[in-house]
Amino acid sequence: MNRSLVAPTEVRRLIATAAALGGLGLALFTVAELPLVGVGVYVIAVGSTVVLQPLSDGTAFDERDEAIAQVAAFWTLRVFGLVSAIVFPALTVAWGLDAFQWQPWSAAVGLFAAVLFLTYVGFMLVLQRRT
Amino acid sequence: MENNLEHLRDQHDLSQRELADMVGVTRQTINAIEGDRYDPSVDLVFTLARFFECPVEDIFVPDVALESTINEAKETQ
Repeated sequence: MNRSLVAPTEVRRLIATAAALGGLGLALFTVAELPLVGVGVYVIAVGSTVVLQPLSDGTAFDERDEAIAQVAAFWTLRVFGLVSAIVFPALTVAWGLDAFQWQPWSAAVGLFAAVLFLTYVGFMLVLQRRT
Repeated sequence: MENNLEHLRDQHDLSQRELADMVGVTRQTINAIEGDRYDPSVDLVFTLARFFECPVEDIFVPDVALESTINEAKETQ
């Protein structure tokens, strides 16, 4: 075994840690009003995930990871779907009855869900034409 | 989908990591297949069959329920 290479399990762990630290760093430094430092930390973390993969002395990610990501995406869409189908119409009715006021954060979440599903529908249409 | 992967791997005196490296997947995937927690792709099924030089059916056993459904469908044709 080449001593300069790292075990795949260790590479997986390092990549997961780097990705988590990158996201956390970006969020924390942005909140602390140091956005450039946050972006710097994020870029270094994302860059390290790219650099780490070839250092693995075996397959670090495979079809099972892809399958897990697909199931996670399915459940994410399902949760957002339920929220969109039940919560947002209910809030809109409440807003119409003057029982609820849209706040910037709730409007942003609503807009995000709408954009998410428009993107989903867009990909569905494109993929249906291709396959 | 049940399988005899662990048995075959033991017969060939291979660790999960060694088999994983030889068929191009992670050790965790071999572990998940052996533990019946993951159904591999068709590509991986055939890669394993080629590696062990045996038919797919010697490694993987289809679900009994699925097999009986197919048999019933054939009988009604």
